[in-house]
Amino acid sequence: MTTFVDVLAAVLMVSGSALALIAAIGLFRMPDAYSRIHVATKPATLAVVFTVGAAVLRVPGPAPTTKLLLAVLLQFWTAPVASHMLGRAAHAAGLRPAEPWAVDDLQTADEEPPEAGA
Amino acid sequence: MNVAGWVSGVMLAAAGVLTAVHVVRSRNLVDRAVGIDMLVAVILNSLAVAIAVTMDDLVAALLLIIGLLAFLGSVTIARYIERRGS
Repeated sequence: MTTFVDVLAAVLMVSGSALALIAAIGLFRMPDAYSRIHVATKPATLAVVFTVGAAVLRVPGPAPTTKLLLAVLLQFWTAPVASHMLGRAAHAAGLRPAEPWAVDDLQTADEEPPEAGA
Repeated sequence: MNVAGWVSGVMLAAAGVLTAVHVVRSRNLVDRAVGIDMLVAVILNSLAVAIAVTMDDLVAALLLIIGLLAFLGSVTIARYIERRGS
């Protein structure tokens, strides 16, 4: 039983770290700021969930488990808000996506439609 | 568990170096903020791996503190960019 839990923790740990590495490679591969925001948020959050899950499996007792699960919960609360704010900031800074926007809800009425790929 | 710890450590170190290179090389403030966010995520991963390997929850509170500080930091940067532009 203990060995099974340890193997599960090792698998979670390695896959979480692999996700973090893939996200870091994605920062170089993605064409524009918006997809880089995507790649720095979603795989990174899942990586934190995996590695913290491994830590929860390894450390016994309710107090560490509560702390670690609270860290995951905090990540789930804050990561979407932070990336949303960064996306709005990228729009306000005038950054354009690599492909033209299908819909641009943040565009103001007096602003002329932005060129794609600029 | 030791082997898994080493593999994870090497991968996380590579991710950290790549992210740092991205932060240095990026051309605008938003990309830099995104890179710093990613760097914090790599640090959180490393702390969680350290907890799992050593079976010691001494640094578990750091996960909470660093996560909260990173959130405040990127939201502040985003607010300032939105107000000022570029």
